[in-house]
Amino acid sequence: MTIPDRTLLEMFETMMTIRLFEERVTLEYQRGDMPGFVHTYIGAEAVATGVCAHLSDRDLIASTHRGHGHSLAKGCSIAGMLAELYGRETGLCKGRGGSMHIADFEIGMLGANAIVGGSIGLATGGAFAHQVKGTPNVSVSFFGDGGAGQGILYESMNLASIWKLPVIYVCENNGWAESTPASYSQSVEDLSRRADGFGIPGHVVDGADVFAVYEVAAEAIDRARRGDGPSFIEAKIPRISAHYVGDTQKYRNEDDLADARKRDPLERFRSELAAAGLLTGTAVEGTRAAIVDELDRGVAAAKADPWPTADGVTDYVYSGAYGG
Amino acid sequence: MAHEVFIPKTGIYMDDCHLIAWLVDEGTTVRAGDALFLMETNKVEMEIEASAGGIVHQGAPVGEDYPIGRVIGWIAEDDSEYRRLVEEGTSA
Repeated sequence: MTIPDRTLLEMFETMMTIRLFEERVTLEYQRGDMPGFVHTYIGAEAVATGVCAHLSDRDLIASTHRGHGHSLAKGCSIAGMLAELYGRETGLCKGRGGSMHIADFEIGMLGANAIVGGSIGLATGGAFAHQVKGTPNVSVSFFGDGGAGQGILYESMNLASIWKLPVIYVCENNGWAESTPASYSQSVEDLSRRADGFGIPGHVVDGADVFAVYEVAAEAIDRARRGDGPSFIEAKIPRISAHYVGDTQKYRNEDDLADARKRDPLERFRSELAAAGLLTGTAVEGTRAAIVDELDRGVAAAKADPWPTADGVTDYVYSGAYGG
Repeated sequence: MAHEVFIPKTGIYMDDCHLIAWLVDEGTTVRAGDALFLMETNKVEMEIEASAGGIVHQGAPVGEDYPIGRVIGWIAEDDSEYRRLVEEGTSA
């Protein structure tokens, strides 16, 4: 598959945006100004990017507790996300959600989700809505190898297969469910094999290779848009960041972490684009500077923005209140 | 510019933090990711890694409690920056 140069450069910018966003959020969180817990997407950037490159605002995604990468790749604004992380009224969810509940329905982002595997039913339902309405759109569920242990995945895959729903199940397998290794808790090495039991095509892809992710996502999404039903993509990703910011990863040996760092998807993509003559060092620095500038402005604005007030605590609880 | 070394927030429920030990001597050159200091909070001891490479200047004594975000030292990018930090007697 030939990927247009412009698409490649857009994907590089998306991956770099995710990386720099997460590094900045890590720093700001550690400084103590950001409430709650933060889980970063460092090491998985190629998956959200390679999948979401095929999606429009009318296509849906549902995400995980580690949702910043999916949100950015789907098109959520940096400023709106930062304000949400700081819990401010100007955030994408008016400061009520925080890191694990970022959503933006306008662009088809159904939400990050603190419930492990919570994206699966949401995305399957979204796919059902597309089918009922007769629109040519798809729905993508992102979840981890830990999420693949939830029963709802297997109930949903069965229904999706029977009804030929336009849904793609994307399992980001980083080998760890928090601190539990997949080798200890999963019955098979390739979780995608389970899709076969539901008559769904299962793919394994190197989740650090954005070219490979883009290609396999194209196949699965085309199939869904044609009305031929769901697919399951298992992206094997390196776990470069800890489970959450502050997790010292004492349960993990040093070699495992060092091996993960060697598989850095952003550095790999940068060197591939440079070798193809598509990206110079100057261009990389220019992109980096522009993103850092946007992050600087976003952090400053978010910190100065107003908190939600106590008398608004029941606002947006019922659907009628949201947007009038 | 020197990188600040500060007490990081490591979880939702975290109060002041006890600085147990510096894991490298004053003036040691470290790489990003090297273990830098040991702190204790909520009954958990944790090693905190250097966020950048450079020369360590300690700015806070061990055995004391510090709040989240408190700067306790610096990582200088080069010798001259390190000397300047030392000469200024910079401490947190």
